[in-house]
Amino acid sequence: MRILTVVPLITLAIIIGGCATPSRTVQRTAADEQIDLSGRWNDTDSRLVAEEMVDDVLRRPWLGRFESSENRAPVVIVGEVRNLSSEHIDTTPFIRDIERELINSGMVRFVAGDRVREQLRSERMDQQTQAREETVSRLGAETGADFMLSGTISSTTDAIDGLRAVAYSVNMDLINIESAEIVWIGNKEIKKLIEQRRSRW
Amino acid sequence: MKGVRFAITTVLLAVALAGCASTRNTLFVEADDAVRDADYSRALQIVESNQDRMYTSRDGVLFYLDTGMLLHYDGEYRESTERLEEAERLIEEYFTRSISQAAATFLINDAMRDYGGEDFEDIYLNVFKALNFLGEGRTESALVEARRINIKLNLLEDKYQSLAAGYARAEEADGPEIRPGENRFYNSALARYVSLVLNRAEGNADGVRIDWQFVQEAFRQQSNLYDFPLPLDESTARMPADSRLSVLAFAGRSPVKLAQTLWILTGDNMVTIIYAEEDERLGRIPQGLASFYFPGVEGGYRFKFELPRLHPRGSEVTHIRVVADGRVLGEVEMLENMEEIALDTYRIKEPIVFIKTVTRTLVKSLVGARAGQAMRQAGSESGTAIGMIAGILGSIATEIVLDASEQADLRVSRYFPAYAYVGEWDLPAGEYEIDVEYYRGGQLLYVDRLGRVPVSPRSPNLLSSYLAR
Repeated sequence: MRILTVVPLITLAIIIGGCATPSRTVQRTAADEQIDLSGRWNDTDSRLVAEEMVDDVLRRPWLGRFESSENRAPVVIVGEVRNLSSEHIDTTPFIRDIERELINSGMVRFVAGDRVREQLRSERMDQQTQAREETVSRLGAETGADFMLSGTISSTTDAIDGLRAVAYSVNMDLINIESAEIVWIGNKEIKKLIEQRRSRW
Repeated sequence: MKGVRFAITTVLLAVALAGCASTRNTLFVEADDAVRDADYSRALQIVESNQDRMYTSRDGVLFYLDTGMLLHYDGEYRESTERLEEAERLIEEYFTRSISQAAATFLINDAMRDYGGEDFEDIYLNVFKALNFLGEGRTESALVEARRINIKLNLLEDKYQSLAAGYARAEEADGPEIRPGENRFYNSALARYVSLVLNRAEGNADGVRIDWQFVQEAFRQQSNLYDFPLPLDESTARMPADSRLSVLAFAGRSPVKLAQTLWILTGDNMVTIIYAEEDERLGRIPQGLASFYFPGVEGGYRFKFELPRLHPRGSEVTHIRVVADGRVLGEVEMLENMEEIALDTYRIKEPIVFIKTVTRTLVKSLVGARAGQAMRQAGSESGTAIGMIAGILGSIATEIVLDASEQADLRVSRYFPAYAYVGEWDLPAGEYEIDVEYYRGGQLLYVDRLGRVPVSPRSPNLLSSYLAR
């Protein structure tokens, strides 16, 4: 008879114990650890593509040709990276990843993008009337870029119930601003297979 | 005879209790009235402040769909997108069904599972997200939504097109008859049209051509859902010489689910039936009581069946005119009967809901009857007045609990429109004061003043307007 009392009590204790477990846990991970949760484009994709693109662009002959003809490192500006995929991808981190990798390589120089330049020009104009003369930044002394890097992120999705294959294709062009000559085209593809279970407890 | 009286009394008590208690629909009366008056911010405030009463923890999809749509109508595009995004995420998450919840639907009622959204809700949320992004001037993000719509529609197409094609063929030729109930919604002319307009603005001729084919196909292969003429012609798929203004006008409100309740009570050689129908505003209203002699029937059983019925709310609007700078451009014509798509989706599920409800009710009622009998018997065997009263009260309580647990699943999104209309006009580039006029016969019901709108080349120039009447 005792066992009839004890077993339900233990079961109840287990259930209550289970309920008492926190519903959310937080674990710190390394910033570059690969974590895939939903299967959508994430920081790992952005970082891996940026690294490979930069590695590729710096190994190609356009760089050596420019350096030998101009005797200096080329100045690059990052233009638009258009999102042509079926996901809302913020291209800003991806652009920042590319800029960082290129600048850190020391093989190219960079100028700020159009929005930042607008802010800088406004600040420079303000300095003309508000700052001490010896500290005023000169007008018309910006460094002009030699090349513009721009691109697209597109995706194709093939799906059936519970299974989705997504192929991302990142295409980037490096264009000589003066001649409009395309000096480099880079492409990186990422494919993911996402499976969702039909049932859970 | 005593048993039947006892049972009828219990049922009437249960009806009275159920009548007093708010149904899911009566909770929304005030918010619905505000929507009808185009006072969307008030409707939103009512819904948000009564969230706990209107939605259970399993109705997240509905809460985000309803509030997302109200925010959209109110012009709060960014917040609307966030809500619709959350609804979309939950729909994706609930694709994985909970086995424990499924088991609960067989024991208690269908509302015990997470509401995972209907196919049409999953498609329309992207349509309105696209319109949100256009409202914010974010064409690239609107295009992302157009691509998501295409992926979802392709999935539906793969699932249901063979049935639809079979149905279309069966209409033309002699062959095995395929019932219209088997034809599923898998292609939305409205969604394809939004995608077409965005691709046209991008100069993506291939995208426009494919979308145009799908718009035509929606009308051809789902003729039960598109039983009206296609309101667009080949010029839709051509790039405009100058600028083209496109107007989507939405009218009415999507259908709601109302409960139909039936109680069957048995006495010795006697059957009594009580029938109640739900009124959207008043709740369950008893419609009739019939008692008749039925030889051979054993007494003491009572069954409550409650089934949802999709109730169209339609629209008062008969025609809609678009006016630019005081000049009538013309009328918009129906592009999608969103109400019919909702009704059709439910019609396919209806037999499953019916069989499941009947099975569940029979099992619950038989178990309840046995439990009630056992309680009464134990009470009378106790030999004390208190024991007898406890036995009777226990059996009444069992019946009331079973009655209360057997409820129709009335969950469906409330604030999608009933009808979508479209019109396109080529105009010289410039700014126009655009009004959309809604009429019932000759009577002007409402003018939606969209303000000064730039119409320019290589731009979607897609405006949307609403009247939830």
